[in-house]
Amino acid sequence: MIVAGAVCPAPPLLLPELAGQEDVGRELREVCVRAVTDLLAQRPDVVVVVTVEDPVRSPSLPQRVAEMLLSGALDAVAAADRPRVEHLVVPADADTSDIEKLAGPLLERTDDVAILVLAEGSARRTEKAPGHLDPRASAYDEVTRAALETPDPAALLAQDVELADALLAAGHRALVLLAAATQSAAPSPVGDLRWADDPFGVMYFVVVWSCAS
Amino acid sequence: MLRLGRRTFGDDETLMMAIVNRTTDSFYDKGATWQEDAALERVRAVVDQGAEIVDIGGIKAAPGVEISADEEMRRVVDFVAKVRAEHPDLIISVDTWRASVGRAVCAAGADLLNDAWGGADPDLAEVAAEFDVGLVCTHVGPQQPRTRPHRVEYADVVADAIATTVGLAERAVSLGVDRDRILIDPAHDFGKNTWHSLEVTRRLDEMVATGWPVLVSLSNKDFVGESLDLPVGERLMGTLGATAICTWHGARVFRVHEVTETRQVVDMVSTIRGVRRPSRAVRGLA
Repeated sequence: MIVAGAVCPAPPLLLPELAGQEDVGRELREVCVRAVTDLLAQRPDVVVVVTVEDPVRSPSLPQRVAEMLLSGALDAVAAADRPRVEHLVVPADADTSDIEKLAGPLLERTDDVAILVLAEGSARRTEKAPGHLDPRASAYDEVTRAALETPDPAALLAQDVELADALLAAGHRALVLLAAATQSAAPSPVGDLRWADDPFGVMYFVVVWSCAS
Repeated sequence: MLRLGRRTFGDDETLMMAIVNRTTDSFYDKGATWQEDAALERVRAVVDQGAEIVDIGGIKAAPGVEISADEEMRRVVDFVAKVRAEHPDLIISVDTWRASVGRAVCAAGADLLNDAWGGADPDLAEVAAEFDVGLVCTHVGPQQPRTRPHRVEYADVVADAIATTVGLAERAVSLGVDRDRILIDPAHDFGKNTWHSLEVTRRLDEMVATGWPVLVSLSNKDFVGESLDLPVGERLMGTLGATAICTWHGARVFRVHEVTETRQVVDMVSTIRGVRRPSRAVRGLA
């Protein structure tokens, strides 16, 4: 069963090896590590890291960020209690129905599963943003933010995947998978939104969902 | 490791040594800091600009009116004491070849003896040992203090510079100077024609490979002026070009007139070399 979920962003600047003398990603990284630490506090048997396929590089950037965050969080867990880590990679061209099918096996698992999603909002929020300004970005991100905070898996599933692509919302399909895997959870997940901000024109969310009663 | 004054520096750290002349006639500043107040103000300015070292000199390098040891001491000893009092952590270097002057400035608080005439007074290294201060070991070829090079020949100028400076450094260690407080300097323009200085610049990595930290003194010198056909006062860009090459090869200390500009070039090249991180990295990474 799915006991918890967490969403963290995966910008390269979270990787300490890419930081300048001024480590601009430090605060966000610390928030992410605390979120993953709290995910592990649900004592899952396995952490499934959900990322979107990167055809260029393996391990992908989100997988490298996840490895860094898990490494920081696992330090606080006794070796005997550490969960296994598995990776679930969503194809870059999957549509929502494809993703729902991909989530199916997670619902049938008998071990306790925590889902760690690497995803972000739009990278087109301002004129200085990496993808320049798209006026649709704010409304799109607000839907995602509210759905993560509530939590509201159905609202995430209803987000337009093509719009997400147009808004450079990296990892959106991984968010859809989290929604698909938790939409029928009973009781409903409880959300704890830790971060929702766009310091560099890209919307970052950090949230933890507790699913088990 | 490099230890100067109270400070210790890692192998990839670079240092700015700002020139402060207590002379009436040095080639670049032409007496601008001859007056003590002006010299103290110059020290304050370069400290504000980030210089880790000031190099105080009482005699211009070129030939000219003879300056006795007593006169040299009058120019620099009290000044060193005042700088020491005002800037307790600043590394104070004194550019002198005379052991008697070296002893007096060390007693006044100097941290480093810049033996710019390459061991002309062999007792200077003993003074460095006696006061546990640093020493710059310099290559000037056959040249005597305050003379100009004239038809100097080397079989291999870089090999000669390495043999001389490393020999001086090892001698200093044998006399008791702390190995971590010694620098070597190929001394551009000293005992060298322009071709020699250009070759020393081009092959500075060979000096760096000795393991001794390398100081370079390039600022506004004639080899820059002759390379570009520019007079004193118009050599900053050329100086910075040479500075970039020396940084790329691993020079550690830069004796300079212009601190801010040199620091920017040294930091940029060090960052390209991969021995210094960018100050900030966001572009393409958000």
